[in-house]
Amino acid sequence: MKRRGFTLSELVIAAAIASILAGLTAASYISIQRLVARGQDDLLAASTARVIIDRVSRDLRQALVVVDSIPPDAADGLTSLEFEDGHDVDPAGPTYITYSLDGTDVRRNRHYYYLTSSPNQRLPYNAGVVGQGGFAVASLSGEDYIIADRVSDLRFYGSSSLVYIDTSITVNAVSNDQSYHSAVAKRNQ
Amino acid sequence: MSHQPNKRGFALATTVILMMVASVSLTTLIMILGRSMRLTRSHTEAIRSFYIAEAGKAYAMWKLSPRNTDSDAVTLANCLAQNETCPLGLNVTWNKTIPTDTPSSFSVLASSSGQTAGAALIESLGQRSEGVQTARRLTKIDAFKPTRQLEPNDQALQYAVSTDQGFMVYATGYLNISPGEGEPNAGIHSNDDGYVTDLSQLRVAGPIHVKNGMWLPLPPFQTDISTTQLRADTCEGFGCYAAYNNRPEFCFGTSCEGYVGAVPFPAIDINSARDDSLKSVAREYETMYPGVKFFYTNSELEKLMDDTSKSGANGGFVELPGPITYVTGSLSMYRNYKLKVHGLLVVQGNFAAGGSKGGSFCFYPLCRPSVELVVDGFSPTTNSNVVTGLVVRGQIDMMLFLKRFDINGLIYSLGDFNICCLYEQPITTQGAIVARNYNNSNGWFDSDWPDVVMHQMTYETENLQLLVQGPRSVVDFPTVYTGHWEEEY
Repeated sequence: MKRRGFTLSELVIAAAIASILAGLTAASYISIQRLVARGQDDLLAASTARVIIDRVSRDLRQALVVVDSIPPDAADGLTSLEFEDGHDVDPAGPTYITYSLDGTDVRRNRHYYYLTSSPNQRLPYNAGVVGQGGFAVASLSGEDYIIADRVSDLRFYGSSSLVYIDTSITVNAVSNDQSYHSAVAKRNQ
Repeated sequence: MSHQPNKRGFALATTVILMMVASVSLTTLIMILGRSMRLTRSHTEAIRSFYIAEAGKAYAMWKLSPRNTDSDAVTLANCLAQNETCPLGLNVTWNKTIPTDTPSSFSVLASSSGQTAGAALIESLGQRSEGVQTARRLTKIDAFKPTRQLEPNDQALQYAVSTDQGFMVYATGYLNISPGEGEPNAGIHSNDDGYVTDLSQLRVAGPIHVKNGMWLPLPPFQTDISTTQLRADTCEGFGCYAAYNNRPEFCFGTSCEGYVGAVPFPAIDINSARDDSLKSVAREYETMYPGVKFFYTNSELEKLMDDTSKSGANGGFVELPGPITYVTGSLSMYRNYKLKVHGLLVVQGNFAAGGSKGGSFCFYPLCRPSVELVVDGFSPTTNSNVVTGLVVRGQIDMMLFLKRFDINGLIYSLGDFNICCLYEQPITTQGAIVARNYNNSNGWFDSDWPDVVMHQMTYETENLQLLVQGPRSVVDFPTVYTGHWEEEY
């Protein structure tokens, strides 16, 4: 009995097709992986931006006094903004909140100004000059924390009544920046 | 020779089939992932659009804010200059691009339907550069219209008896008293001065009788006055003339001192989230006096009045101890409903008294006036005199079967105050009537209906200030109060 195996041409063709298929699969897999990673990055960036804008908006909408002079143009926008807390008004005196871009982190710092000679005496931010026997600034413990990371840009501009907020999130070096824009109209003056 | 089966060629066939299966699977997978990616992309774009729309909303609120001194803020002057629908309504659109992301933009429309709306709507549309991702944000904010109405249908009449506004009948629209035939007494009666502003329209079939003087704008004033009789006791005739800023005053009598300019429509905060709104005040009383009811739904109170009138208990009167009673929805008093309120009665919708609700209708004398509303200023809850009156966010309608309407205080209506078809008993108020429009179409019957009787206000302004933080001042049209707002999603 004569049992014949595969012909050489069969094997060559099958191997070629299998190689092409394997190549396509590998390429697709890599591409899909990238797309999935990109999608995950976008979602992460979106949720990070939402945290920043929502938190800043909530505090700023109710803010009393805006300490910083807010430039009208985005190009001159501030990366840090300080204002008087209008939500949790402390009977002991005014409390201030600062949102700032620290490296790639956005920090929220709640603090007050006090007399160095009388630490319990809280003062408005402009009540004196640091270093001239007036007051020093101190952060309340536990009130300084990071609210978001992987932030490549944070800007405040507009006016003290209508503050524009721009932020960009870069989840990793491969992803593109995800930029978000919003604005807050202050209720209090 | 036995036949040998041919076993050649299955490898290629198998590979081809596998390749086809794999290709189909891969294509499907790629399509699914592609859709997923597009969804993800769409989701993030929607979030971006949402915040751009939010920026538009904030932009509009600032432009409408009376605190805004920017040159393009929406004030009376630039509202008129832009030939918008003001002062009858608010209709302003802004289109802006985001400076740091120029293809992105928002379009925001702020509108209100006019005098009686009491609220403005801000509709903001945020759009990303792709042009397909949009987000919409709706916001309702309280808007109060001032007195300075310049369109013909909004000519203002202010009628007051004293410069300190101790008493005031004030309407931003017409004050039109047009009795039916044979009604001799329709008119305006005042124990003090009367004031008519420029561009007003005053039509009274009966006499205008003021104790002191009637104040008119100087010629060439554009006020249209027609009446059968003008009389001023102190001024020996209808001759006390005064005008406005930068105009000379002269007087034939002794009561031509002082200045009455445009009196802002006092915007009382009825139901905002502020602590000093009447709704919040009622909530506060609820906390202070557990067990005392300060809140009713309209159906709840109407049922209570219905039951009490049928039982006859307390003379058929439902008695609310006050110092404030807040009713949600529109309140109608009809049949034999009787209500006695101590303090303020606040109705969040419209208020009607004397109507024939539900289509039931009968004619006098088959149906006699029987609805009674009494509001007085002593609250058993606090055992003290309190601010009193009827405050209605919608309109007030006094209709046929109203027997008694005795308000010992303020009557305030953000909408119209309409009187129709009264007879037998007067409407009595000891305070001011403040309404967008005051329409007295009484006289349907040739009967003994009396005038609306008005007296000096008996409550003290300071008490009113304490309770409602005073009427909010309104400066220019369109003034929008943006202290708090409600949002619709």
